[in-house]
Amino acid sequence: MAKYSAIMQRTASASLSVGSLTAAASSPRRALIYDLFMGSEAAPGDFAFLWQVQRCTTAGTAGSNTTPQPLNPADTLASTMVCGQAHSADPTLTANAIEASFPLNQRATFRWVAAPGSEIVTPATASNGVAFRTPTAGALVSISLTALYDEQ
Amino acid sequence: MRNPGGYAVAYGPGGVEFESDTITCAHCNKVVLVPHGKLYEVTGGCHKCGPGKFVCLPCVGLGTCTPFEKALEAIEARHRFERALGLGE
Repeated sequence: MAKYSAIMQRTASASLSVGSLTAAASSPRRALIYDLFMGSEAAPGDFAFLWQVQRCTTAGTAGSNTTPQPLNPADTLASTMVCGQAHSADPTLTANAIEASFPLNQRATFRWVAAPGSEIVTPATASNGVAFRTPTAGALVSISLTALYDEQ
Repeated sequence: MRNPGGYAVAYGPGGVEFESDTITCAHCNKVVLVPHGKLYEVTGGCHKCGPGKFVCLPCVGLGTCTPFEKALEAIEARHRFERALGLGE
C-alpha cells in the first residue's frame, strides 16, 4: 500500500502532545510507522527532552490537522489517517502503552528506522493510533517530528 | 547485532553522537534500544514466537505469549462488535 510522510510541530509542552496519528472514524486502516525523525529547530540550548510514542484511543483536539503527503507522487489517493498537531486537549492515552521512549538533548536530532516487520503498528480501529509526546520538555521551544508510515 | 529490528541514531553539533540497534517487541510492539553487545541484557526470547523474534523484559516477565498481531486483531474485532451493537463511534 501507499507510504506517507506526516509532519507535526508545536511549541514544546510537557502535558500536551506534539501530534497524533490516528485511524479515521470511518473506513479505518492500519498504519505501520517505520521511520521517525525528531528534534528542535529553535536556537541551540542545553535542555532535556523526553520523547515518547504512546498509544491512544481518541484523536483529542488538535490545534490543526496536517495533510500527510504520499512519498510516491504516483500514489494519488490521500491518506485516510488523521494527523493532528499542537494539541489543546490531549488524545486519550492508553496507560503503560508507551511504544518508544527517547531521552534527548535539545541540540540533538534523532532518527529511528524500523527494519521491515518491526514497525510500530496502529490498529484499524476508529480514532485509535499513537500520540507523540514530550512529557519532559526542558524548554518551551519549537519542536517538530516527522513520521513515515505505510497505510494498509 | 544480527538482524536487528531497527536502527536509531542521534545527531548533535559534533555529528553522530549516539547510535544503536533496536528491537521491536513481538508481544507489545515496544521499541527497545539495544546497546552494543548487550542484546540479552535488555531483551529476551519467546519459544512460541520462535527465533529472530525478540521480546522486551516486561513482557518476558509476564511469562505468556500473545503475539502483537493477535492483540491487534482482538482490538479490531472488539471495535467491529461494538459498532454492530451501535456502541462507540
